[in-house]
Amino acid sequence: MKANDARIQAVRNNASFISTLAHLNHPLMQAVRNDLASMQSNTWHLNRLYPDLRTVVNYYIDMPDVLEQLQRDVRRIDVGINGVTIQQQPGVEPFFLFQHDTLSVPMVLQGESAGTQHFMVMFPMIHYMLQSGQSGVYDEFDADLHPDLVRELLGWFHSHERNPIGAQIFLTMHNVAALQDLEKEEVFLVEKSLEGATTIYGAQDVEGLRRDVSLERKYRSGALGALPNIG
Amino acid sequence: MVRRRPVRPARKRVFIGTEGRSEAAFAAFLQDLCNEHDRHLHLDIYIGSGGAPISIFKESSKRRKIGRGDGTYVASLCVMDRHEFDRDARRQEIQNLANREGPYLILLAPNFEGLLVRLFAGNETRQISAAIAQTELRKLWPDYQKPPLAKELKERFSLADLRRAALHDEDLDRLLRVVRLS
Repeated sequence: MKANDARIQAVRNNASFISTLAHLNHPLMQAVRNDLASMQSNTWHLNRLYPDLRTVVNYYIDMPDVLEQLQRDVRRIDVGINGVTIQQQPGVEPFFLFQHDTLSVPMVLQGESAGTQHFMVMFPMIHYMLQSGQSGVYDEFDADLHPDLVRELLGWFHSHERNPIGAQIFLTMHNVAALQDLEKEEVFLVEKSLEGATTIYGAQDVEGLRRDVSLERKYRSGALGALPNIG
Repeated sequence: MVRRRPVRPARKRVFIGTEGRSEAAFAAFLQDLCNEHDRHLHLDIYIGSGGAPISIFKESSKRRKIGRGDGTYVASLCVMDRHEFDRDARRQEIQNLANREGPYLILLAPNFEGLLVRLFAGNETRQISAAIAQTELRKLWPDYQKPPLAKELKERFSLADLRRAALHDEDLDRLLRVVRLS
């Protein structure tokens, strides 16, 4: 390609390498760009997205197979819920009803714990990723969730049965217990200085970190750094 | 594919039991300096609940035992005010325990605020009493609030300030040596 090639003139000065080559019809980069563009995320720019309840309910109405899978999973993860239905009546916005083992009347979503509410919102995205093999980015994955539930959800991504196409999830969380199930190559640690500057590094970059030790214990011991410096 | 070589040494652990929030903030300030200067140390800081020197020491000693469950410490320290220690009837008992079992005693002379006074350039050899330490400190640091935040200590003092004061303060010098900042 020569300097005066018209294709160079078409390149924006703020375009990435991937975007530029995709724009020039490079097949591999087009595939990468399309993949990146269709990544699932609960963030937009620097903020977390909070889908409104109507959107979530309508998604489950439109996707009965997702609701069916949810029914199975919600019973399995032992949050005391025996089933979820969507109540649809003329003139009223559709809403969730949760049947509990120990309650004689069903409960609306607003009456459920923050963890259950979060799970209901995150489940469609996780389900879609696992079914389609799409990658995703999830901020504060563990918000309001029990540590063992977080481990279970991460287990879905490690499972060939549950994740046959190999979807990858990039997530942030503070749940130290989840380190038990992760390999050092999967973990990146974030350390903040007193001035607020952030350093990110891989657990794999820490010398002498063996595979047969608990990453959680190593992290808690301070050997990996990135513990809050409280004072 | 060539395997990447690890580039960050695992951090060694140092236990620092403190008398209260001021000393803990000071230890957190040291932790930040350790990170900044790649000293590869984790300071396991225990914030004590104050009281008599023997209580502070025993509380630190107990927390150190619990903390050992997460891994070994390359050093263990207990930081408290010299003023309170020197006038305590059980100081010899504390010293004996420290010598025999640790953690090692680091005494701030005459107290935390007295140490901060000596961190200001030109004040490193000042000997002031505990009674006026806070008043003297406020002359140098008018908006000082007790307990300070580690962030405020970092804004106010540098490693050079610590090292200069340590030239005239054996305990501070020992503390800096243990945390690899001397």
